[in-house]
Amino acid sequence: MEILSKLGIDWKLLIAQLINFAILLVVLYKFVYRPLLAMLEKRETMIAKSVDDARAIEERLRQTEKMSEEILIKTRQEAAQILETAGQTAEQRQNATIEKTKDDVRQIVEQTRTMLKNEKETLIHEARGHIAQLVVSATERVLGDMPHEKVGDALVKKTLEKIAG
Amino acid sequence: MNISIAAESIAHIGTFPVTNSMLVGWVMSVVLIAVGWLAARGASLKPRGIHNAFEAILDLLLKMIDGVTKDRAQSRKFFPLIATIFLFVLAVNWAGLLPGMGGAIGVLEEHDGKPVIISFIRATSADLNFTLALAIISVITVQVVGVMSIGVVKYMGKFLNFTSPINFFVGILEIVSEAAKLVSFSFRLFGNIFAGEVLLTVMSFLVPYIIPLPFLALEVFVGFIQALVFAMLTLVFLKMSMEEAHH
Repeated sequence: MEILSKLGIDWKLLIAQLINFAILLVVLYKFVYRPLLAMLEKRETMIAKSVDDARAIEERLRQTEKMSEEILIKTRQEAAQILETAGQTAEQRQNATIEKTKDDVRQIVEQTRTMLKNEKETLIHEARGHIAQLVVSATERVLGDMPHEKVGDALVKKTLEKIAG
Repeated sequence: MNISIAAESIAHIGTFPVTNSMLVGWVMSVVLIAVGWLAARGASLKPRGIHNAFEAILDLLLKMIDGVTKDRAQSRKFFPLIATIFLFVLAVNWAGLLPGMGGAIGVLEEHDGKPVIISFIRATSADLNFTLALAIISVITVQVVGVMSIGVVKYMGKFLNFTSPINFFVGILEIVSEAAKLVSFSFRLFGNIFAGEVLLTVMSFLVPYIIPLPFLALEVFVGFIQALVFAMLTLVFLKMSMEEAHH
């Protein structure tokens, strides 16, 4: 034991050092390590989360860009298609209109022709009636009072046939 | 010049001798707590100033402990002891290098009829009382952690093994090595720091200017290394105590 005291070991001091270190450990643990380590951990999880979030946002952005590009391409294609269809439809409609107009014109011409023909016939018919009367009256004048009306009629008929013929 | 292996008492409180190393220990404890408290008080998610600096040190320590334990949960359990050992030993080692050590500023006392100056400042770790106390804490913690993690029977099996004469002898060696840890822990730290103080005292006595500076720088480095060695060895012993004996 003498060597211990020669080295300066004193139980009182040894115990004092033990207690001092224990107090330091407890105080530092309670008021320094715990809050600071908690803060470290909190920050670590926060940073990890931020990195994950950033990655997710980037991914979403990329998807959105891709989607918008797809939509754009699709829209362009649709527009081209619509234009083409519209062109075709317009042409068809134009052709149809032209065709219809032609038909109409043809029909009108036909109708007019028929009408004219009918008119002509009516005119001829009427003219015939008038001529017959004229012939009768002319013949009456020429012949005077004829006793036999039958002769007159026969004459009229003959004349008419000649005229018609 | 006054060189003494034992720390010198500079005052008495009752029968309790207040030694210069004890005084430095108290002062540095207060300083550490104050700095730590300031750092913790200013703690925020955006680290600034003293909080940032202190947190960086703690983070570095935590990563170092992680390197040994490979397990964050375990690291967090060991952290308070390892960090406190490192920070306190570092603080007292460096405090012992402050101007006024080695009998420059202190109390005048009669020693063997001659007047000597007893410094106020002596590194706490240049006092076997402290290094032995720390070694006791370290070794006892190792035993407690060992028992708690693998059970009393298995842990005792490391020391008392009757399966074969060789294993029995290995057990005896284990007991001796635990006791040797106490001695090696306490004397390594004490020896390094005390030798440094003696070296600086002698150098300053012989050549007061310029020449002691490289030695002072060296002692700053030694102080850091010894603090790291004590903390890391404790950590490694803690980790080893949690593993079952290999046969």
